[in-house]
Amino acid sequence: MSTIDALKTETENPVIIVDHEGTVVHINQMFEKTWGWQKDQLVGESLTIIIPENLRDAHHMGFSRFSLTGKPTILHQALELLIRQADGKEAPAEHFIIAEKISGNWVFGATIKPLATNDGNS
Amino acid sequence: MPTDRENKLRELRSTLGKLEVALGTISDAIAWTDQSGRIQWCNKPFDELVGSPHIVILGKYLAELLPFREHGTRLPDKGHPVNLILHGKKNIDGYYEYVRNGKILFLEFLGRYLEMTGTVESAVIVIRDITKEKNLEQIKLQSAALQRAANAIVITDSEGAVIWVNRSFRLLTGYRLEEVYGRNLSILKSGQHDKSFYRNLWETILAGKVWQGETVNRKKDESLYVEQQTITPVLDGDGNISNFIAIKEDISERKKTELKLEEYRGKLEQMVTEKTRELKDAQLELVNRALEAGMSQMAAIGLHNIGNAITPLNVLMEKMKAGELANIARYLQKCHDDLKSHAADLGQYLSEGHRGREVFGYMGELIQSLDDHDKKQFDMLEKMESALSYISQILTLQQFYASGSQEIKEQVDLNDLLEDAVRLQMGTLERRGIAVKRTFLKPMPKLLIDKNRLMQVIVNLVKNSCEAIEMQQSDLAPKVIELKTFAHNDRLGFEIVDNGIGIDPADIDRVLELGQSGKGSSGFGLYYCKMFVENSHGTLVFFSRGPGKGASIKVAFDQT
Repeated sequence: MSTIDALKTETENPVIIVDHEGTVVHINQMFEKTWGWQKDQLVGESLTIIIPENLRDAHHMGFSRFSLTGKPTILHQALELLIRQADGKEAPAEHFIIAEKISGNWVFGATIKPLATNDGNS
Repeated sequence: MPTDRENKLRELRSTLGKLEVALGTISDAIAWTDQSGRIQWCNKPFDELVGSPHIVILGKYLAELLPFREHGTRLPDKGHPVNLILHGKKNIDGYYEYVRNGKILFLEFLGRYLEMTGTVESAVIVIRDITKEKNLEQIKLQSAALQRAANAIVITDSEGAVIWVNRSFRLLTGYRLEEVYGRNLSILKSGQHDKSFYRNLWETILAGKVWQGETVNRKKDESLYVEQQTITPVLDGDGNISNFIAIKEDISERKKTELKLEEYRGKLEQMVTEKTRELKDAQLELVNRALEAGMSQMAAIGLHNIGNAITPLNVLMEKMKAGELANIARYLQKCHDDLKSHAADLGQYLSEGHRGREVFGYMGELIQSLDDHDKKQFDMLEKMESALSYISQILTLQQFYASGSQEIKEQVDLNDLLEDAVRLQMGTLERRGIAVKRTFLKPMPKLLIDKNRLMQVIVNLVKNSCEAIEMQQSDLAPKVIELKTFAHNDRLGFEIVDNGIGIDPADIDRVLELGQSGKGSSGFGLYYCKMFVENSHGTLVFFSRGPGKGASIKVAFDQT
């Protein structure tokens, strides 16, 4: 079983899976519960929807470079990054992102766990 | 089939991907921010410049991550060029300092303001680390300074092989760098120094110490010159000697000058010795002449005073010669004759004769006269004795002057001298409860005079004043001696004022005569004082407003 497959069955942590073009293909219930997003709001949309505006350029540049070179810089490590919630607020979260080539295309999966802060906002 | 949108997205992703790769490979740090100055993207060199992981940098305020300094002073955040770009909506280029890990980096900063319709404002910045260039510039400057230095400079490796010389080295020795490169400076050896000289030199510098010394060396044209040399070992990071730097100065000219000077100094010394001897001779001559002059003057004064003392002696003797004894004798003879002629009727003559009756009266008068005469005689003898005593004193004084006439003149500070005199008299002054008030001119010009004798004079005068105060015999008034010093109109001197017994102004001249005194003492001191002062081209003036009104002695000398 691939790691992406493992993420698809993950229930304890919020999980999101994105295809090689950056389109959301899957979120689990925990993700919906934690971040307020509904499946139909995200699946089929660009991943940038959950990325705070300030980080979108970096995302686009980094995502594009990885797509082009296949050389990761932020994968397979715990990252503290802000996530844009469904209510539009930004919250700190621990991201753990993995990538896997499935049928010749990259598929990205991530667990995005909330990090406690003073007011749940940064 | 991919849709048109998907194709465009793919194209864009490809472009962006290449861009990020390209921007990540150049050495300049690049970043851009949103309108609040928060970093939206940066390249790898930017991460390295800041020294933080990429993911941590994103979203942070650039001004906080990369604080700038200008000439060592940290800029406030609002003065940071990123904020100036965003607030001023303008481009900013400049040079800034940035401290990372305790090291100062010099940064060239290029900042562009971006505002696109429908998007947020942004500051795009490109930063180049020019620390190396800056250092290189510094090195270039230092190297130029070394090249143009007036002293010859040689840099060698740790073995002493030349790796660089400056222009002055060529001018000094005649050797170009290519002629000496890789060679030891022993090519300059003149043969004028022995092995131990060079051994000492090498031992010193190999021990990591600076060697300094004069060396006679040989130029390329074979001529010799003297150089003052300083060789400094340069240590590397491990403390090992990596290089030697020799700084040489041609002191041949200086040496010549020194030799000339030495020669000249020798001559001068000789001249001074000769002149000193001549001066000493001249001085001795002068002393002798002065001695003669002084002595003849002294002799004149002495004779004058002796004359003064002898005059009353003559008068007294004349008086004694023409004295009343002859009259008495005449009376006695008359009486004798009368009595003899009346020898037969002496009783009748004495009782009835008109002259006879007066004989007893005469006898009585004669006795009285003899008595008076005796008294006068005694008086006159006393006076004569006194006059003789004065003459004796004059002669003593004369002798004193004659024997001690080799005056030793020196520069004297009258304030100090008066102070010393007071110190000598301190016992007397304190015992008698006399206060000393000082009114000193400061600074007091120096006076060239025989210090010891002037000291005697002052002590004498102070002593006199003490006695005058003592004789005033009044416990009511405070007993004060005032010492003053003054200098004006080319004259300087001192004044001693007391509130003692004083003297009638009419008697003032008299007190300065030998043997006279307003105080009943011998008066010899005051006379001596006046004589010394006048012999030293000074004046001594005694002043008193009258008996009981104190007195003052003012002593003044020509300043020259």
